[in-house]
Formats: sequence, structure tokens, C-alpha cells
Amino acid sequence: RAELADRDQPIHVEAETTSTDTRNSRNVLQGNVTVVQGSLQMKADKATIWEDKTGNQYLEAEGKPVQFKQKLEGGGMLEARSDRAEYDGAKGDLRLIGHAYLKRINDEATGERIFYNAQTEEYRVEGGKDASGKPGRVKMTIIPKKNNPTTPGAKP
Amino acid sequence: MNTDHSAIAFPIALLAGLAALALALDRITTIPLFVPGPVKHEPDTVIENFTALSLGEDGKPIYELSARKMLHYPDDDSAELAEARMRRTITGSPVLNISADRARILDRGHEVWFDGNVVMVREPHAGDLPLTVRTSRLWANAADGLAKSDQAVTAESGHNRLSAVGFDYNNAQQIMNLHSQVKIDYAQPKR
Repeated sequence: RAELADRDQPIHVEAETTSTDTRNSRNVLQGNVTVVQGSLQMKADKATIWEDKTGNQYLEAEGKPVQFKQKLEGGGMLEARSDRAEYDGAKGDLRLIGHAYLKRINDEATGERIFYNAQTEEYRVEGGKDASGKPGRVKMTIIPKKNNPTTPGAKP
Repeated sequence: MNTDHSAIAFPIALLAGLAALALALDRITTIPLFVPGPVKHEPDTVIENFTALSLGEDGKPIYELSARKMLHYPDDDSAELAEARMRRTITGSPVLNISADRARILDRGHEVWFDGNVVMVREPHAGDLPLTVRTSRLWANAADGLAKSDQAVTAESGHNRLSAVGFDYNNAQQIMNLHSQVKIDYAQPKR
């Protein structure tokens, strides 16, 4: 499980310019956008961030690509990238859209879309459709964890 | 014969005398060319506890400008205010307040330069949160509800904090553009 505290942390954002609709605190940020929430980090060219009444933040980002990183609860890092990303701070859902790639410790996955929950660390990959309209490809590489000889019951 | 000569000479002598007199008078009465000296930038009017109210064509107030002291300068028709405050209350837009150590109004226009501890507060409007902006120098057009600065600026709205260098703000649209070095801190969500 990811750093449990991430989605309950304040968010720090930096960018070159911003246009803010002060009626609803909707910010459109442009140029070297970085978003940090606890151990969660995102880099994009452009991002739109808004809030709901209880202060949950929501984000849509574009980049070449959007890059995403998060420290995992049990140690190790999750890294991801895609053309676009959508983040729902209330649920901890991250949607990676377009040339999506995700690496969790040693597992890797690519597809048209990857849905990842920063809370549960679970993800789902969708192939989408390729140029000719046929179902797109999903590719996953899962590296089995090595048996630790000291683990009780493990065979030498 | 003599009388002839003197009859001829007299008018000539008279004319010469008159010409000499005119020349002398001209010299005496020449008004020295008035070369205006450097115009001094000095106030012609000083008002303590100054208040000015600008009304729209419908007779309703658009904004009020007030200050502890106002000095008016005739040479460029400008005015300087100490401890200046502006309150814009045009209907349909949120109330906008600006205060500063000093302000300067140029040629009776609606443009005001605020300087020193400038605080701009857009009051809550239609359920949104107040917005407070702080900077060191700000230009405002009180009639159009526009404000901008090229200085460092911080802003607070609810629990969120912004900082940047340079901004512009349109009160009617309630859009604020931050020009560079933008940093935003969103508070923790309330769960």
C-alpha cells in the first residue's frame, strides 16, 4: 500500500505561469509544472487543478510525457508516464491515458490506459484500440519475488 | 529766403524728434521677456481626511477613494494620497478593497498607483471565499476593476496560499493571472 498518508497531505505545486479563476480556485498551470503530495510527485507541461467543497483536489495533466512517481508503503518506488493523466484526490485514483507505462518495483506494464490507485497500489491495464481499430496490445512483465532462504518453509 | 528754409526744415526736424521719442519710449517700455522658471512641483491643495466618490451614469457609486491626507499638484494635475484606501462597489461585481501606505492619481483619471504594503481584498461573492493579495506596488483602474503588478505577490484564498512574481486581475471576470515563479500550497483535505 502506498504511503498511507500521501492523499491526506497538503499539495505543493510549482509552475511558470498560472491563470486562476478565483470564484472556484480552478488553476490552469503552464510550464514546468511539478506537483508534490507527500511521496507522490508528478511532472507535466500543463495541469489544471481544482477542489471540491471538502478540499479534495482533482487534477488533469498533459505532458511529453506526464511523469509520475510514488514511494510504496513496503519500500521501493512506483514510476509511471503517459501522454495525459487524471488524478482524483478523494479516491486516490490515477488514470494514465495514451502510451501509458507503469513500473512497480520490478513489474512493468504498458498499454493505452492504465488505472492505478495510489491508496491500494493496485492497477489495471487496458489496450485500447490500435490504428486499424483492432484491440490494442497490453504488455506486462511480472518478476516473481525471489524466495528468501531464511523464510520458514522455503526450500534451499 | 530764410523763412523758406525753416519752413522746410521744421517738419523734418519734427519728424526726426518724434522718431527719436518713439525709439526711446520703445526702449523704456520693453517688457522683459518672461522666461518661466522651472515650475515647482508644489501642492496647491491639501485636504485632511479626504474622500472622493465616483458615480456611474446611473448615479450609483462605482468606487470611493479615501485617505488620511491628499495633496493636489497643479503643475501636472496629479494628486498624492497618504494611507490610501479604495473601495469598489459596482453592482454585479464582488466588492474590491485596496489599501496602501501611499497612492498617486494621474490627471483626474480612474488610474491609481498604490505603493507600500499594498493589500487587495476581494470580498466573498456568490458563496466563494474571500481572496487577499499582498504586494509592494500595484496599479489599478478603479472604474474598470482591473489591477496589476510586476512585483512579488502572495495571495490567500481559504486555506490555500499562492506566491509569484507579477500578476494581473480582472474583478468582473474574477480571473487572476500569475506571471512567473508560481508556487501554490493546497491545504490538507478535510476528511
